[in-house]
Amino acid sequence: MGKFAFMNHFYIAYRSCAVSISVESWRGHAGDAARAAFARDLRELGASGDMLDFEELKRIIADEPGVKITYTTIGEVNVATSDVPKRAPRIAMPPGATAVRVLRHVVTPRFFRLHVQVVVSEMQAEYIEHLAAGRLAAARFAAIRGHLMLIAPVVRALIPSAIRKLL
Amino acid sequence: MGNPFASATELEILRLLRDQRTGLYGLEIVKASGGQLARGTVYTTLGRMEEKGLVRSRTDKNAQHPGLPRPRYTVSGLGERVLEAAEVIGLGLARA
Repeated sequence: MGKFAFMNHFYIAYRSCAVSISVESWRGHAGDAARAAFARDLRELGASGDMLDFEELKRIIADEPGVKITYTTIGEVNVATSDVPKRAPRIAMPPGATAVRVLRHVVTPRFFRLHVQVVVSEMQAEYIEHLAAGRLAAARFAAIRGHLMLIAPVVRALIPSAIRKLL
Repeated sequence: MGNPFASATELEILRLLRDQRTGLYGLEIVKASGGQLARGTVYTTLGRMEEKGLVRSRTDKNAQHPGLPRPRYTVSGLGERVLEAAEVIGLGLARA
């Protein structure tokens, strides 16, 4: 364990936590190269988020005579990117928001309230319900089905007005 | 006021709404029908029924969910009378 050198205090990001590590004393042979290697190892450990390595490091240091290491979790940092599924759902806008924005200018307020609002609001409620339950595919299907359901009433509303304008 | 007569789908929705005095959302009506009513049919019919005055809708302004306010439907007085009349006629036809 010669490469571990004395360092007073440092932090590493581990999983979703910032971990404070203090090494109080070190009786081994210390040098700049060893100190740098120790810091590099810890940085890599923090980046890898590998629990086994971290536990192993703690055990090795704790077993080293004359060394006392303390580590405390000092608070949560942003969830590590490695822990976030790449396709995790992120709701920027509820589904149907764009359709609503467009349709508000295209159909009458009465038609919107009676025929568009019910379809979109139910679609959004169903979408969020599926997302909350972790059913991403079902949520997407609900959004697609909701948009398809909008087509019939909107066409029914637009065709007569278009014909009236043409005549 | 429009045509007060109700179709079979409208009567079915009125029956479901009469059983739930607190009202139902569109999706709840679809589920309560046990597969008899498709959601597209329900949404279209609810709009038409509201135009006729058979049902009333109200939205919860304080709802916490994002998006448009979701209308909850209850049967109106006219809807109840139409349903009663339809049931009386139905019983009369069944006896005849």
